[in-house]
Amino acid sequence: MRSSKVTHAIGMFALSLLLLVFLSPFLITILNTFKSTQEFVENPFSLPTQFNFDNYFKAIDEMSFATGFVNSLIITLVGVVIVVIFSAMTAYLFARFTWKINKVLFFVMTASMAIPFQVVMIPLVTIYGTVGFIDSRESLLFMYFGFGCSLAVFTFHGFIKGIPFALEEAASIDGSGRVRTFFQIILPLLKPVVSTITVLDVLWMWNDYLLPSLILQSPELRTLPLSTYNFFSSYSVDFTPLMAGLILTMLPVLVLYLFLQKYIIKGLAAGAVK
Amino acid sequence: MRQKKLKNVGTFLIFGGPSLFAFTAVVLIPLAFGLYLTFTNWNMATGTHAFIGLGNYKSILTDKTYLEQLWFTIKYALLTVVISNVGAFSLGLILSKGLKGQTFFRTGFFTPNLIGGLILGYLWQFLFTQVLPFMGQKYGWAIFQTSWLSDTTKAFWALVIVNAWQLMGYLMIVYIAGFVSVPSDILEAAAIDGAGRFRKIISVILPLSVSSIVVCLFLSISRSFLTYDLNLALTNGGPYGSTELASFHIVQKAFLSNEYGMGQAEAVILFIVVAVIALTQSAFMKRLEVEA
Amino acid sequence: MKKLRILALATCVAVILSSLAGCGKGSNSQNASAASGSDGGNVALTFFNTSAEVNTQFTDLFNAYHQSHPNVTITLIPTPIGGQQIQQFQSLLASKKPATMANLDIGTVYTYKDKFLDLTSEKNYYEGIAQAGAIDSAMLDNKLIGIPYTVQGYGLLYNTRVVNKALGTTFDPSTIKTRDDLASLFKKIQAAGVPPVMIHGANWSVGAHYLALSYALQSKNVDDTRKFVGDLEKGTADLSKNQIYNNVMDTFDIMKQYNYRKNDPLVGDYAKDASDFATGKCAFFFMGDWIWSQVGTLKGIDKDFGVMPIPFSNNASDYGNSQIPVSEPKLWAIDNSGSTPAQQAAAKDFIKWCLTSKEGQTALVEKMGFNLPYKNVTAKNTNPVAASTSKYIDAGKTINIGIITYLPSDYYTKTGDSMLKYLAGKIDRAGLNDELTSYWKSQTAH
Repeated sequence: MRSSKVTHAIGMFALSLLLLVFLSPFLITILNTFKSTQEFVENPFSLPTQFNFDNYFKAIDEMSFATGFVNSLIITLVGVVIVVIFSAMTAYLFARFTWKINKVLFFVMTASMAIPFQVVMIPLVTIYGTVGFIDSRESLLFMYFGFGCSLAVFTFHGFIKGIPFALEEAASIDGSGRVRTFFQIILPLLKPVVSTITVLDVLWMWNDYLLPSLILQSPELRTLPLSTYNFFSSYSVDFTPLMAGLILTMLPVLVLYLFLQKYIIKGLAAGAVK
Repeated sequence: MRQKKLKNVGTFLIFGGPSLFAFTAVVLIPLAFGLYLTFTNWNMATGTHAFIGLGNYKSILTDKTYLEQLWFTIKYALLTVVISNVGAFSLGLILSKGLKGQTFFRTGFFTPNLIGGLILGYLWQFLFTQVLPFMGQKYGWAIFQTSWLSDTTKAFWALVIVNAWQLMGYLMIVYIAGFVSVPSDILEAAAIDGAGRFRKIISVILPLSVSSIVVCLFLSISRSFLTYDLNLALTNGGPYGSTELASFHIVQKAFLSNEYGMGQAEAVILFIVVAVIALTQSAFMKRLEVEA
Repeated sequence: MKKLRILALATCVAVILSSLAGCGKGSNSQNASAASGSDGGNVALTFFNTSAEVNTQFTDLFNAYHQSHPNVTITLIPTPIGGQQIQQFQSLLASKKPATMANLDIGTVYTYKDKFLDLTSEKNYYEGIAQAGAIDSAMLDNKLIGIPYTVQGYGLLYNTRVVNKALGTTFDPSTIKTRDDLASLFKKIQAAGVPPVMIHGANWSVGAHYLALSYALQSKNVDDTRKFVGDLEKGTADLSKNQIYNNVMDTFDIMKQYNYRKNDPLVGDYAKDASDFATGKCAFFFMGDWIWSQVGTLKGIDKDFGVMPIPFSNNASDYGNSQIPVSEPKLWAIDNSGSTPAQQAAAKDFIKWCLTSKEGQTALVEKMGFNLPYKNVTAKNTNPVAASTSKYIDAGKTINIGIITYLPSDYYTKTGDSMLKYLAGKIDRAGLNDELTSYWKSQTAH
């Protein structure tokens, strides 16, 4: 008994050490947000001579943090809701109705995940620029929907297949329509996957640089990652305010993730019925 | 009969309509347009293009540097996939046992995914060129004396490490989700049978996790083959162009060398390679799943 | 739970409806903004900026301009680092929403010459206000499609305090006339315990700035150097047998031998290299006067810096030995692919205002640190390196490196990478010759 306690303690220690090494890039980052870029370049390990928050103020100021934050929030929230609901529905269609066309479409969607974004980039902006559907939130959201649905459909599909038919059959005997069955029976069972997709898509949309940089040209629409690049110059990077901006950008997602993680576990517990 | 068909069409449109419309409009149509461009010598600057048939493909497939780069990318992807999946699987296993502070650890290992690839790349670039050599010189660690990014082999490993580092936390979550759905009575039964820890993993958990392994392999394969941001920020293809992964090379070709059709054609070939690898492994694993 | 679901559904429906509505609205507002350009009302301009280090200063300048010209609003389009700039520029073109004005590398302006407004009719005006020759070197195929606003020089930068201390006397750069002089100078400095020179291990520095000199020095006339490069592409000129190329590389060998970064030559961290040089960790640095925007605000740097020509041969009077390479690396170009005449006219006015008004000059010179190639500039540049390059420019001691504008856009990454291999000792001179030769020959395919 005692020895297992010791092994346990050693195990915990090793795990903590591993985590510390794993996170050391961030710890060094946080330490250096309190220094000037020069102090940082000269010795990244030195303790800050005095704790100053200049970099944070600089970041908030130069990034127009408030505007960027609100923009990122709108895009991410709406984008994730759209992707999750519609992809779950499509995955349900593909998993439950094994028509030939569904099989083909599912295959095409899965395969499309292997397309490098750069392949469609120029055609995309050419097409949407020509029709004038660009430089608006709606346009960016539509593109997130299009690019995000394959992964979401793929993931939902796997889980829906594991749900026994019996539940839906009972519902359909009750005379419940397909749409109602989906929203009443299937969607609640998908909670764990919904959390997973939510986390992945939040991270993607919140941090994405390339797509918004192509679509959003008006400064009042800019998302946070676009503003972070104020600290880049042609051949170098103004590190310390960039890192402060990085920490500030990261915090909201971290909070959201902590919240959702709890939800994932809850959802998993509920989903364990299957 | 006819009514049923009508109802099915309705179901298809309601359930599939929105996603398929967006998917077609955003992915398929631009892809088709892009595919068409590979048969031309489109010039972005002048906007002129002429149909040149398979010319681009011919010159790519006879280009030794491109084939070398493709092989380099395959090596990179293979290592990244193995390292990140083994690490993620082990971490996921350790962190599903109900340890104290489990949530904290899970969050900790997931943190690298909270940041976009470009910034993460610059962060690591700084670590490799400044912080590690600083330590290497201070403590005399030979391996860190010089920057990893100025040596061909070490720069390759730097890419693998950073990508695996980030992917690991991501895949870990998927594995944890899989482990949670492994019925605990099966695990208990295995424990009562006296199955050893390692054997338990091999004979019980592994077969039951096939579906999460499929997902993780697919994700890690496509993500590592399509690495672009990290490549740009961390090594920028250097030293002297030795670490240009396929996506990076495509962008250079299309935009810097202004050979759009050729870059696009390289992308199509990359797509085929990834699709073949990813789908083969999925099909193979799915068969395992059925057998298990 | 049910409530949540209804809420989610409602949101979706709302979003879809609004996005449909947005569709229509989007195209309307676009028409509206295009129309307003010619309505004599407000003109909205965009400025695509590849000099990311002065984004804030440009934004301030645009705001100031708006104060005095209330009907003109200028919005900055910031760009990310390196290669993504071109990607974004092309996307803007492809999306039919090009920036009204673009601050681009001269080579990029040349590549996209069809997309920009021909300003040749204003050549006389600009020649009247510019320094001698400044407009000529911005001419591309005898057309003026971009306005120069900065002139940059480079060479061997020296830290006066460090060099003087190592030599024990006051250093006079004009005494270094030949390659042997340079070698013995480096030797002396090293003997004093000071690292003599730093080579920045990045392909743009060794490829575009250094190696390109071997083409530029072939002739004072750009047309002749273009012909030389054409011969390289055709394979009728042989680099390895070219005296000037070999001279340039022989001097490179000396710099390589005394390189401060010898142990790890390819790190190429610009912030680190610049700060190490400015704080006196080495005596010379192969770089240009733009370094000041990086180090000017640092604490604890030295005050006095200068630039010196690089001697490439042992004949003091050879072209290049007493001159420094000077170029107008970036131009302001006005879009002609999707902008309205009103926007173009407003853009022309803005550019003139920048270069001639006190406010514009002060921002460009004092806040952004550019060296304006124009007359009647009252603003004072605090950049000591630029002051030093100005002396060479005023004395006409410059090397014409206009050739780089006409080189293929990937030349500096490709040939620069070969130079890095050579710098790191991965290939020898013969290997370098082979790689360069095959690069140039591969260009004939296009």
